[in-house]
Amino acid sequence: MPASPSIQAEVAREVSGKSNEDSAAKIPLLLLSVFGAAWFVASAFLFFLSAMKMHGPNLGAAFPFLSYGRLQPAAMNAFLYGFLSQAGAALGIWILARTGKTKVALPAVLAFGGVLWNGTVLVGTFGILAGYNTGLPWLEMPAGAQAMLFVASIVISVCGLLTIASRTERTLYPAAWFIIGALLTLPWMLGTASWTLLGQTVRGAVQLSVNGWFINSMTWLWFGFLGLGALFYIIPKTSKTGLHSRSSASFAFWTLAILAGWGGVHSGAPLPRWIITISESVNLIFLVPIALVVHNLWNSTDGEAVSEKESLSLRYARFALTALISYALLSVSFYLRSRNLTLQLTLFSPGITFMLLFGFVGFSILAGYNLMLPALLGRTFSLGGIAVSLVALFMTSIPLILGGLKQASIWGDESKTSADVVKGLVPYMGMSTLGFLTLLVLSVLVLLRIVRELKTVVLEDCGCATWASDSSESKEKQ
Amino acid sequence: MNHGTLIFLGLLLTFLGSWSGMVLAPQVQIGRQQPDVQLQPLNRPPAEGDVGEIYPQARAGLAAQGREIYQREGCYYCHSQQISPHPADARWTQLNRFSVHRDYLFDQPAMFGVQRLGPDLSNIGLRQPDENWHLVHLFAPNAFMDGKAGNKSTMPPYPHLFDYRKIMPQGGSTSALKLPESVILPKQYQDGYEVVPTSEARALVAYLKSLHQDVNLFEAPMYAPKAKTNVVSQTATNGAAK
Repeated sequence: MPASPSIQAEVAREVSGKSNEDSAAKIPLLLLSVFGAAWFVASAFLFFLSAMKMHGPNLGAAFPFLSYGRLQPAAMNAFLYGFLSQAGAALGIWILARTGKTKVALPAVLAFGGVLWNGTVLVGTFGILAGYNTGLPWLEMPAGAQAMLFVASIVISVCGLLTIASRTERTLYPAAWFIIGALLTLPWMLGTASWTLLGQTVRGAVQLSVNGWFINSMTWLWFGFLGLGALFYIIPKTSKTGLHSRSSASFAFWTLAILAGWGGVHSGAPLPRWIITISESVNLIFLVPIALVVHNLWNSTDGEAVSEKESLSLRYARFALTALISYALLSVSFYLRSRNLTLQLTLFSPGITFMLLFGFVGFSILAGYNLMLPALLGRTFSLGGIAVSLVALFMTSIPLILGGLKQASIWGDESKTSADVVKGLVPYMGMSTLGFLTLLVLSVLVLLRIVRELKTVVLEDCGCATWASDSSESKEKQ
Repeated sequence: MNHGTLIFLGLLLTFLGSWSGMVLAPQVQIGRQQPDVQLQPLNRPPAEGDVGEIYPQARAGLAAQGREIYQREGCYYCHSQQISPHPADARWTQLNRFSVHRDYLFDQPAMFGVQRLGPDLSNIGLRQPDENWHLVHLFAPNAFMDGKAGNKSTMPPYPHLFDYRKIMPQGGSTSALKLPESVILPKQYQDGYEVVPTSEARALVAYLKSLHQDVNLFEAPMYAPKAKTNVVSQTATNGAAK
């Protein structure tokens, strides 16, 4: 299918380097992007430390904040709210401005939202490490931090939604649907879950249902929609072929929106059967919209990217799609009741979750970074690191998935003891520890590259680059 | 689909739909359940005049404090507290019934668990009622593992829940840990020192000992338990750790 005229015009503008970036929006978008990358490093470091604890539980035993039970939720929250949310929000708002051919609304307020968000995640992460854990997965940050996160999410979402409301291009692209959906629902989800769970308005196993609803809604309506929004922008743009099917994208959007909140309960949960049955069914039906999205976007990748950064974006995007469909296929086997009863609390679950969150959402963000950051900084560069990213993805998620299968088989064996479970998992945990080390290396590379480019731009802007080179020349002469 | 209002209304409806199904409906159906009365724990034969007990009961005293330590240390990341209907769960937990909503009425938040890197603890109060065992296990998780067979616990030790104290001339503390020989103390504490649990360690153990789901509930069919014969029943409150 040929590219639409507006996409062709956008592409031509991008390639010719005449893209008129909104200078006022650079600061908040760069703030969110750079801090997002910094949280990527922090979360990878915490993940690596917690993985190390599996091999050396005595490591740092004298320091309570280094226990696995504190490191793991701190790492997860830093990854979800520090890296994915922040980087995804920056990318999403940038895409909204681009597709709407408008400027980012209220850049100063967006910057304030970014500062508030970062401060909250910092306090929340340290809070978990210090022992102020709420005990609710994905909502572990202390209640005060959750409240601030809710406020920050409103600030950021309002800026994004006002941006698209002020658009000059009346057509809403599929990328914009997904990002609007993400920005609209984030405060709803954070607010409702915090009020219900932290406000203790429900009790007993209903908490499990609400927590499952929150995690699944966040996974799809926030992280998933941000990832899809990025891919629906990046792929048609960089491949120069346009979107394969708008109607298929529309169907996938609404199907995912309808199903998103229903699938968060495992087969063995202490809840009424009807909730479990609905949840299992929805998780199986999820394969349909995901397959449609992947088919639609994959058929849009046929063109040729024209620059190195676009080629890299497209490659990241293709791998993101591969991770998405892999997740969908694995989760079908995971959510069949007979399998789910044995696999639900094994390493299989974090394995496929990581494949989705890093392999799909994370790769989509890195694909977007390769387009957004050069545009914001006005320089031509690419982040690189695709090989390291792939190694990190495979070495973290695959061993966890295989380890989960092993764990389930030992668990079902009557002759085995809990010591056998641990012994059986050691090789898989060893592999995933190396995976988290690779993730740490990747995150550091990404951050260093961004900081280096940022530094160059700042030096150029203040005229210090000339001074710096003059200074070094004079030193050499001396 | 070029109208933001349409997307807003559509998303609001889908959001309300899932919220109604996964939050409101369970709350309406089971959210107001009350404790059951006159229930007989299956592992304890009824005595004459025994009217059973109320189940569940809110934890009080040390056990309630211990719950906060459990939450603070993130124990739920490795230990679950939910027994699924799968037969293997009954074997591992030594309790032949699955968990239901009523088991968690007074747990706020209820920590169902994220993974099972360690054993499920729904029934640990019955499976292991020995307080010293729990304390030693928290101090040195490998103390009871057969190291020769290559067995090693991945559980971290919690030394900050214990104090080293010099043994007084008149004798050691009665609350000091009875450590097995396999536990080797740091060099500086090997002579004349004992390990004494802090109040936090005792509270955590009181909480662990309060965990049991050994009551026959209407909604959770239960069959004859395979629990050990020396298992001692604990009441749900079980605040006082001795």
